[in-house]
Amino acid sequence: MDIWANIASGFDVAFSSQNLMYCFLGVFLGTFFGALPGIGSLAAVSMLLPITFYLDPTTALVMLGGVYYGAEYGGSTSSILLNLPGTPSNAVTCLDGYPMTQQGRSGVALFATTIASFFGGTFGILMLYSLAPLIVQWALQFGPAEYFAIMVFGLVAAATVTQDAPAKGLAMVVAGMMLGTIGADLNTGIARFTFGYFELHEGISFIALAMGLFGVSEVILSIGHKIDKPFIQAVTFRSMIPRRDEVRRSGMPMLRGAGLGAFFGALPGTGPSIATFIGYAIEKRLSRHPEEFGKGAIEGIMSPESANNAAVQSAFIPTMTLGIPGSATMAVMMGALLIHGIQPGPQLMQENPDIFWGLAASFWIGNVMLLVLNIPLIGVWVRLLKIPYGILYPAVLCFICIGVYTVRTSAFDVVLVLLFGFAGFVLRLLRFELAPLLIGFILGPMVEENFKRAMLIYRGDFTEFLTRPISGSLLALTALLLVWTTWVILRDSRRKRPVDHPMGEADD
Amino acid sequence: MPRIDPVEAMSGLLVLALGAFFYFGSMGYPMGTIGRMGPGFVPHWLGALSMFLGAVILLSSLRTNEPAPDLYWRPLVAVLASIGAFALLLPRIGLVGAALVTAAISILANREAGWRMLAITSAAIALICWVLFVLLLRLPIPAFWWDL
Amino acid sequence: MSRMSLAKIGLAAGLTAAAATTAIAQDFPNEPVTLTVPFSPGGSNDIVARQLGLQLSEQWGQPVVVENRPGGGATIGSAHLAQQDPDGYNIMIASVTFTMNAAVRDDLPFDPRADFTPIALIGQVPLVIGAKPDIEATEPEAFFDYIRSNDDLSYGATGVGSIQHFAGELLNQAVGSNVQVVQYPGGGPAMTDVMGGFIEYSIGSMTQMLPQVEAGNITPIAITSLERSDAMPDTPTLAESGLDDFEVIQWWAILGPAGMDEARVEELNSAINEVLETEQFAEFLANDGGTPRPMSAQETADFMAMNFDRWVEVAEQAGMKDQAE
Repeated sequence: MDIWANIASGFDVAFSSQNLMYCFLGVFLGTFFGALPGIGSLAAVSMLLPITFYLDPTTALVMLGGVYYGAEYGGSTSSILLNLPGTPSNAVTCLDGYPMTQQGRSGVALFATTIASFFGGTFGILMLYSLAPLIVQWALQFGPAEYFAIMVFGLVAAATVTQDAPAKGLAMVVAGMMLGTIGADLNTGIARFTFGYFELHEGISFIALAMGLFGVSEVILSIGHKIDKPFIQAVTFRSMIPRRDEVRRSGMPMLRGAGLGAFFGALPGTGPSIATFIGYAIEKRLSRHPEEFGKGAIEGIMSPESANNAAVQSAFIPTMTLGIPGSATMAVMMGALLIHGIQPGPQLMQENPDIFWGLAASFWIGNVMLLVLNIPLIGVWVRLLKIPYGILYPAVLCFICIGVYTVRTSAFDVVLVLLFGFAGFVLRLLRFELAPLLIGFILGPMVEENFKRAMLIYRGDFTEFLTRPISGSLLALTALLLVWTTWVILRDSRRKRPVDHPMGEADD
Repeated sequence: MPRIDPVEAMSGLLVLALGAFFYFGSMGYPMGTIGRMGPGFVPHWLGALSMFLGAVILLSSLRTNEPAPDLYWRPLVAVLASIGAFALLLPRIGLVGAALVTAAISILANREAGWRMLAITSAAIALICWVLFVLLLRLPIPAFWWDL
Repeated sequence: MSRMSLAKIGLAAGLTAAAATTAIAQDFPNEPVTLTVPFSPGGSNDIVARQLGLQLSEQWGQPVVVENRPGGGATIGSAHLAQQDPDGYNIMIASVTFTMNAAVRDDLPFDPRADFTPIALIGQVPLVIGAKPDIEATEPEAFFDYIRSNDDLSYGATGVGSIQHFAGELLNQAVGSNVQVVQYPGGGPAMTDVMGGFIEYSIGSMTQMLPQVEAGNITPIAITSLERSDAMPDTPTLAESGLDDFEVIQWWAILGPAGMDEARVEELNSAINEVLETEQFAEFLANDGGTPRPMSAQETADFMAMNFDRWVEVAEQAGMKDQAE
């Protein structure tokens, strides 16, 4: 069969000693930078891009690809150990990964997310291999109405991520959406809430928001009580082995996460973060013990980590086959190809099959390398927790500043980190959850934009949303989810008075 | 008379105020209609929703009662000041100096840190940043003021 | 083998050192030159700037540091450059959008005409009217009739005052049609909606359109330069299809801050023109349907002045500023 020949030739390309070496270099640097708190995949890829200019195009992409998915692997490390998400798509992993560290089980969490990442990554690559052209044709069926519907679904799912105070969770989603409206309005060019700062024209920097809200507020709250009592962690190999019931509970969430991730990654303009949030929400709904979520439920890290790595791989589908990058990070990758005079797009598979198949093969090799690299590294990462927090946190703050600064060469964005660090601190003292804010911020502008676009194209006819098959069924699904959630809330509140949780997440 | 939970009351007020800011702030922008929304439409109604949620949270503060959380003044001020220093200093004295000052100020958040620990740690961090980002990665960031 | 590769990384990272040894001693530049890109990495400005920077650094034996300063629709990078020393060590890439912004925005924190020194033009690439794949009117004349006689059509553009928006409104004016503009955050998303048949067409740069046209995802109607392009020789120009003198092209230029020494401008201009004449650079642009367009500094200044005037006129006629109401 033709496809086997292609796969074989792809592995030929990937196994050249030069590509193997750069693949390793890429995944190694990616994991390293991803694990540095404050530096995410976008910053890592932008930082390492110039090095690849002098390589041949396949090798350049092999390395940058390695940096990208390596950073997504590594990002979970700082989420779990320090409650500092390395990339926005790891923010969900903090919700249950960090409580596991607090229970002294960080080895288990790191081991589990490594497996989930590998599984998700492999799943995404299989998609890339087998279904790339099909998926693209199917993704083209998504117009503004369909994107609107799927974003609304995501928002409703995100609102249910929140723990026990629906009004406060919803308020955070809305706050995120309001922050998302800051910047120039696409249809009129009018600058909204920018107070004359041109730096706000394209909206608030996503990285600055995430690093401030999650990273800086975490540092502020941790100083003081972490300095004198570091977590006690076992670092033996046995301490990494999950309990038997955890293994049993991991399979399906991992599979569902991978499916969701591959789906959202392939849609240009959605990205891995959405997949992780929806994955988490679904697991919480399906779980027989939803009360464990947020307190170290293994499903709560398996699904998002698997989703996020599957999405990273399938995000290459629209970039390589349509020439349309789905995210800022993919845009940088595509730039790397363009610099070498290679136009990613429908012709790529015909004109440069060695690039396409070689990359796909090298991605999988890279994932194997990450698996091999990360399991022994778990011990090293866990030992990092033994570094006194008093020495660790000043370095974390410097990394956050440098990472945010580099993405746009902007000191203004560093000031935004300061403001959002303060905001995150206040919100956490008031026992708000921050993850819904982040998802509102990501999805809000997309909902607004696609709604307005659909209204323009369909000349103000609302029925289009309901009569188009994809958007109609997605909106129906959303309505069902809303009704179900409301019913669950009502049922629970009738059954028992709300239980007070004296331990807010901020107090740990 | 029910007691008021200060955390929930503050939360409600905060959400209410944020909503009011966007609700009224967006009135300067064209609203349009729902079929043809202007730039003010979405923030305006999100603001309204947020004010409603703020009111709900405020009302619920009458029912529950939890202890007020601790404030962390020292870490708060020191950490935020250290980030501000970075933004201020990087374009003026370069990365190494900015990292040095940022690390030093942030260490002031730690009540137990002595002067020796402050000097050694911040110098080490500045050195790491310089080697990692400037020498190894060659990021286009000025390292010292003479590179500006 | 792996040792060789290791050496190569060292070389790559230390390009500056390697290049310096091959260069002859010279007065300018004797330290790194910063080339500001007022956009994020990965866009067409960034890629053109990086290729130019790469070849300039080989020529000079001095690194050219490409610095992305995105934000505010190129406002931040441009404002930054305007404040740098006019010593030739700080230059910026600007495109046709720079002159268009001047026509539709009155919030710019700099004077786009007075605060910059035009140094050299780099090259140009035409735009293509790319229509949805199943469109029936594929010939320009039939296409004009089609958009004139249907009043529920939409076209995609990349923001108020973008080159795609200007081209679209110019087409509406020339044809006498009333196609509704729908804005997208970038050329890619606009093209996917054309491919999916959600909007009728979008007028995008040939760089982006070419691969989709070759794959049959998009139907090319016409191109917007006065002459046909070698990259799409079968696609007619608008000018030859009855819209006389219709021309909208994407171009890139290198600017410096105002007040540059004339001799320094000349040095930079001839260095850049030397790059434009290399086969390597011509091939690089041709890949995407573009051509180098060497000009003297004075010609560049005149060319930009002409552009400034033209876009003010078009924006007024199309009422583009009023769309902001």
